[in-house]
Amino acid sequence: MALENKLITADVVEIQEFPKLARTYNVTSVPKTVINNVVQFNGALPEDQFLNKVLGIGYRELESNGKGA
Amino acid sequence: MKGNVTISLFTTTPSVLAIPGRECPTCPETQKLLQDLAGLSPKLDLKQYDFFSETEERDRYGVERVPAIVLEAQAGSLLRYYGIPAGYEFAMFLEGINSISRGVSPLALDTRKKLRKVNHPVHIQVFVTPS
Repeated sequence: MALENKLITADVVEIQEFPKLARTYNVTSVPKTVINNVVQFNGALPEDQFLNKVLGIGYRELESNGKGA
Repeated sequence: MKGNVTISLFTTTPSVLAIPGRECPTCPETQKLLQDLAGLSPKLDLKQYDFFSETEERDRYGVERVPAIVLEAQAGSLLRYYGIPAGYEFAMFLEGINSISRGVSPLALDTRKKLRKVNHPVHIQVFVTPS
């Protein structure tokens, strides 16, 4: 998904090499996905559900005066 | 592969003294893996940076730990791999390189259209283990 928009950055983290990070994010099973430290889920999601989570974080309607919500 | 892909690898430079907090036991192996990979195709350009001394590149790519492998897509978006991409993760890593080389992700057309609407930063972290 990162390839489609410059505002999206994707990290893949191998937790065996970074155990502190695994504890910080309470990773008990893999894969675990965390988006903007706000949304997190275990396992793989179907593409449309993953997309909805990304849009929920990354898309905001513009107000009529052009400012973001 | 279609287009060229630049692979930016961040590691630490081994030294005689062991400095706590600067250890990176998988850095040498990651470096060898990527050197071998880059040698397989003239379209792969491997650039290597020291995490602690080459801070401009480190900050530009937002690298926070090592070993780190950064792939930059044509749109300017970043894919970062932290740790050595071993086992099943190597296949996923190659898929990332392939997608960047082709200039298109393997997502459905509708998904790609909707992702272009994203107008706020989204940072996706996926935690994995090699298997």
